[in-house]
Amino acid sequence: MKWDPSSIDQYMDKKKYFDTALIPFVRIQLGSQTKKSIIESASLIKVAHAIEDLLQGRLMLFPCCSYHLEDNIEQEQLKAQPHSRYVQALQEDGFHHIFILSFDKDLRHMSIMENVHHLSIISTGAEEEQSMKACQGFAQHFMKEIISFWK
Amino acid sequence: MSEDKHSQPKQDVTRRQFLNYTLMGVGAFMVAGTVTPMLRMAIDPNLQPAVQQDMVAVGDISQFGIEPVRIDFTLNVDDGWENYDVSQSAYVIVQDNGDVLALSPICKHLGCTVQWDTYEEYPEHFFCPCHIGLYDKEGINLPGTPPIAPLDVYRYRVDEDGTLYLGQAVARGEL
Repeated sequence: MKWDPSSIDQYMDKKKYFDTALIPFVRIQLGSQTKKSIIESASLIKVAHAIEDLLQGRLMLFPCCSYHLEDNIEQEQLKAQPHSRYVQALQEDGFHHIFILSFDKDLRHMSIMENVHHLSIISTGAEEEQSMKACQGFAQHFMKEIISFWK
Repeated sequence: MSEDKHSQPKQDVTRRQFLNYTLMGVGAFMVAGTVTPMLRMAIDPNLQPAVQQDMVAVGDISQFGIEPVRIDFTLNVDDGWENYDVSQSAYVIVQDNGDVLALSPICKHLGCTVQWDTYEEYPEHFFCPCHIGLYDKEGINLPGTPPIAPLDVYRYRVDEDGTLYLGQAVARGEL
């Protein structure tokens, strides 16, 4: 289910069935990496929607979080703090499984929190990743990974 | 006795009034004739039902058998405002009597996508991983599991050359 107005009634009615959150983390890179960043953003959103389509009866697709990629590791760790509070709020609301979808392997630090899992797309930099077929392939792969955590 | 002009019967419509009414009528007619097509152009697409491409070829019937085979295909929809493609999936079974059963993989509980024969405890069943929904090979929901109805079925036809066409998915009773 998507976090949008058309789903409000059904979500409020069937809330007990939803215990899994999917949050796309879109990284913004500027300068020479702008084009790559834009392509990755588009691919990430398509993959997220494809995963939601497969598991819409139990998984809530939250709006994207975007962030600017820093070179400084300390700055990266500082950015994790508000995300940690966001995750904690979701867990308190009944989302026992939280999945972060991103191209950024450095977001793995968020996986140290209990029941927060990182779904990382390995980018080849190719524009073909944007194609629906490629996105469906990623979605099928991540769907199996999500289901494995449900067991 | 000459009649007093004040006692003369009043005319219902004077010439001036008649001309005014006529001009107003003609003017209204001209405005309506100009505005109506514009209103219709603006509103009409909203009143048209979405037209979905009737059937789309998904393969030769010989490639399907008694075991469900999943296929992906695209249906074209024209809803009056825009024309777009909708991706669909189906599990196709050709039964012993030659009838085709094309099942929609959308779980009737909360819309997840079911999978065929992936649940160890219930092999050869359609399985919804979200809430352990189960359907038999015919797409009939198992009692005691979350789904509230059988899987939808696609309208289909098979041409003389053996090409299988699938159309819109409908509830089982509507086929």
